[in-house]
Amino acid sequence: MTGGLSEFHEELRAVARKIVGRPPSALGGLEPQILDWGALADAGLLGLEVPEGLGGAGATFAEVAVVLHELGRAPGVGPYLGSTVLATAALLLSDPGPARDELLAELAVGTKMATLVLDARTTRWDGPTFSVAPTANGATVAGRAEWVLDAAGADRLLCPAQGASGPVLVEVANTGDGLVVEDRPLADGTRRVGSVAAEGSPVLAGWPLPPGAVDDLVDLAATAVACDSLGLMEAMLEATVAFAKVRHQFGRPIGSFQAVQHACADMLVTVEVSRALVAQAVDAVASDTPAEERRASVSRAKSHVGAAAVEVCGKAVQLHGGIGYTWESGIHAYLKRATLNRALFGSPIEHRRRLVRALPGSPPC
Amino acid sequence: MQVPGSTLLSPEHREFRVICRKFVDERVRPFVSEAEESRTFPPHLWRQLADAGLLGLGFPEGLGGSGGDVRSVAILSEELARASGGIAITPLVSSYMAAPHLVRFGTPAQQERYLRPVLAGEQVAAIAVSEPGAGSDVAGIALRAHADGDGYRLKGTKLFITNGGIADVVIVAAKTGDGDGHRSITTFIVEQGQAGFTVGRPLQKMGWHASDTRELIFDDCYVPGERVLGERGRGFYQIMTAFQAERVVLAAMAVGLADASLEAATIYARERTAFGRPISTLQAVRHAVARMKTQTEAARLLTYHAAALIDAGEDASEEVAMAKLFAAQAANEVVDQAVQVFGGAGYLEEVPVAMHYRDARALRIAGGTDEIQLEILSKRIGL
Ligand SMILES: Cc1cc2nc3c(=O)[nH]c(=O)nc-3n(C[C@H](O)[C@H](O)[C@H](O)COP(=O)(O)OP(=O)(O)OC[C@H]3O[C@@H](n4cnc5c(N)ncnc54)[C@H](O)[C@@H]3O)c2cc1C
Repeated sequence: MTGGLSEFHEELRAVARKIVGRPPSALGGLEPQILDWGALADAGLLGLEVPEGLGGAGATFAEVAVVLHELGRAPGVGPYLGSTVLATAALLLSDPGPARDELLAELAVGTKMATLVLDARTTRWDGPTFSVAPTANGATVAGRAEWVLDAAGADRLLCPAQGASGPVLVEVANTGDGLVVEDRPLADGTRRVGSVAAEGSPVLAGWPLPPGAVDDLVDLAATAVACDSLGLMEAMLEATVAFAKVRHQFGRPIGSFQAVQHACADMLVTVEVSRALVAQAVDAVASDTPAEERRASVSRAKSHVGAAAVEVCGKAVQLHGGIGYTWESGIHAYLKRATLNRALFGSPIEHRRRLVRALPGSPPC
Repeated sequence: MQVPGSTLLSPEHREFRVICRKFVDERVRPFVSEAEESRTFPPHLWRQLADAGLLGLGFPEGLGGSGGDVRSVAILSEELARASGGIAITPLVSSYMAAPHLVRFGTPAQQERYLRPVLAGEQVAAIAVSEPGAGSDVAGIALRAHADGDGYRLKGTKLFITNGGIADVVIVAAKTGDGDGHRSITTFIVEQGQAGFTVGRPLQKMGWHASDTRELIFDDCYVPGERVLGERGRGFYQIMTAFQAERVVLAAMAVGLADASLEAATIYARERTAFGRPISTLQAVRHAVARMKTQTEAARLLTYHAAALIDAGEDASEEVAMAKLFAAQAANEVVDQAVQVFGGAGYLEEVPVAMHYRDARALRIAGGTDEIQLEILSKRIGL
């Protein structure tokens, strides 16, 4: 990475941390923290990838990854992944035009939120579950999807759908016109998923989907989740080391016990390995890396980091003792989010399968 | 019904398991979701548990006990936890973690007044040792009991006390001397609602949602001399003695949670298809379930072994520590793997494995952390 870029990233990190940063104990309340969407918009963090001409920063996924990492360090409720990351990326894959540009511009300043209607349990796209039908003065869309991130709060839904001449991405308003969006309660209170059912909802705009586009978006989503998990682990490591220094039992800091020291050392190793894998995946997604190589990087990162974050957050609970098990410490929120992250856009098993399948001459599995 | 761990159990134990399972299926399961959501133990269950003889296992009949032994308590713990850790821990703390102090160290008058109603399901008991500054380090507690006339005045705070808000009687550990905690702790019987004794709001926890956990505040709370429980200055040893059966209960709860998750994952793996076939045909999944079964069974055997040694009147410190350590860790691995087998569905609030996942975590902390069990073992090994 060039010096200039890393300096820019440090600055971006500081800006993001100033807005979302808080200690884990801030998540100790009954209600999850809500992201300050206005502040994120004002700082330009909602439009990092949006072209400058449309009010964005014209940056890349490498910059978005910096923010995702910070959001993992201090999770809060807000459609950053669904709207800012996925919907924006989907629109950027579509042909420019007034409808696309207008929505991108609104996403960048936070006046609208959108989401990509894609099952968040997907590792490989099986084709559209929606289809478009022409009408006298336009088109409507029908179909259903489960586990759509940030669906309920989105103003616009972007559905990959089967069109007359191939897959298209269509824009639908989340206004109830032939559309039912339902939130599903999750053990993790900081993320929202919902089901989307459309029955003849009017299509506002549509774009042809280039081949492989949705699979690229799934890779991007998996990498985004890995960035988040890395942030979770890093925050848990820091909080645990700080706690081990001040918590005394048997007349000395618990950090003086080798069991605690070694557990912290294991956490550090896990975090650093994850950091390297995530950096590689982010780089692959943000640059023009050939698809096969990029997929392998993403799978390496997601398969490792998904499980590693659960392990590190679990160690944090353990090393905090009883307080780690109560909500006051906020640690539980990290463990729950890490567990959900592990299942999003490919579990470790699925990503390992994908890695194995990519090996030359590997048997089907 | 398949009978696990049979070599260490008698035919009576196996019959008793059938009774427990039936009780849990019919009387407990229907109330689990409501109890989890409202974060309250269903109060009507106390009477039913008592009538079924499940609150007095292993205690003399003269004191209101109902026969059985430590293995029976382990079986009950296992079966209750299969339905819900939060519901399970509530009567288990009352009867098998708090009440044993009264059985072992109580005077006949104390037993008549406090123990009998607890075993009859009319009253609830709690045991209060941990404090904000002392959890693993029991000898490091700071709550003081100052002599005052014929009795004592308690001052200080307890933390993480299970049943704290619903208990009628609380066994409280306090320092009665200035010396080393090992020789200066005494336990007291405190009644709910007594002047100078208040409870905080229920603590919100990751799991065990149906269980009530609180901070207890003692502000010059007067306790008459006849409510000293056991011997003055011997509290630390009394607590350590009681830990034996308590840890068997926690280990057995771990076995129950693991067993329920294993069962759920097995059914799900058979039913769920992916890539056109049941996921149970994938080795990554079938081997995971096979490993879960092995871990559950190993935890069960260690737990029964520890319980059987106690039943035989032998010193089981090492076996208890190993059972508590291994079972709690195994349960956490098994429930985690179950969530994994369920995929996204394992993460939905309404799915039992999601609840078991949250509940299992407590078992590696409460009743002595993993690290403390390892310390006990290291010392016993002679390191
Ligand atoms: C759900 C729940 C219910 C509970 N119910 C009760 C109850 O009814 N009554 C009651 O009295 N208590 C209860 N407890 C408290 C429980 O016993 C303590 O939480 C537990 O003993 C750990 O103490 P702590 O929380 O103070 O952690 P600490 O002792 O502060 O430990 C923090 C970390 O340091 C580690 N550590 C500490 N000492 C050492 C050492 N020497 N070597 C290596 N590592 C060490 C610990 O293992 C842990 O990982 C409950 C706790 C929970 C979570």
